[in-house]
Amino acid sequence: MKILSVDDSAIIRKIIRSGVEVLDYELVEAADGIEALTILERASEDIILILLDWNMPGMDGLVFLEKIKNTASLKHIPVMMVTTESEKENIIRAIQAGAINYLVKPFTIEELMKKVLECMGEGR
Amino acid sequence: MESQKKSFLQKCLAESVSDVFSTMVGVELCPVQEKAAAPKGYKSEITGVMMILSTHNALLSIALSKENAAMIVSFMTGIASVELADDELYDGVAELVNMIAGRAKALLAGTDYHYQITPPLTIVGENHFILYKKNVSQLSMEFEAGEIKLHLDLTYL
Repeated sequence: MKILSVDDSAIIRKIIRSGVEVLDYELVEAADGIEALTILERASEDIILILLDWNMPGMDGLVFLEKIKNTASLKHIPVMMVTTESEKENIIRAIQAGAINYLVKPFTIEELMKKVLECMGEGR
Repeated sequence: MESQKKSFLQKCLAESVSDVFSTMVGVELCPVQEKAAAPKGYKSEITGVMMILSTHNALLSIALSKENAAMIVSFMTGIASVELADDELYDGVAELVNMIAGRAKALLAGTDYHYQITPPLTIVGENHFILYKKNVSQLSMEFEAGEIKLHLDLTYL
């Protein structure tokens, strides 16, 4: 089972990888929304969760989120935001756009794993 | 910069730096001193920079040595510092300034100092510095934890 991390920071993707692999999921990485869409076009059936940064060059996270939630073949994939944007109005915007969970940077590995499990319906 | 504004921003930035480092790096980084504004900026090896967009635009930067960057990114990732590529250090410093700016933005929500942020960038090179125009309004802070030293500037353009 694969989780897709979309973040322009390779270091953040490495940190996410360390948490996701402890939970026995495989991590697939994309540095921006455009690269993530290419991955999803090729193998969306393998992806069970998307961890999505907000502020990225090219296509930002919110635009990417709206795009996949408006694509019939992709809208079933749950999305959790992983971002420095922590104000209430932004959290509401992301949830309204279709995100099911929200993790604010900075975060600990334990917080990340707990949120991932919540998204998979195992951590409530 | 008026003293009330300066002290409020200093408090927010100190809290942001402390939160980011304690959570992501596992290090309690504390402010050690305030420095006078220096138009010819602080010399360093890696500087993470972020544009602060508000009624009065500013540049937030954190500057550190390559050795310190390696130590910090190693703590963040659990990867030995000798195994980290230079690009990973640059990316790590950019992400640190991104998180510091993001945390401070949240702390400043609802105040006159609230702002929007841009994706971060990194400036690299031995003894580089940022040269500002004369008389810019600048807040400079130094942070320390053991061998780790970090210089932070908030410069209103």
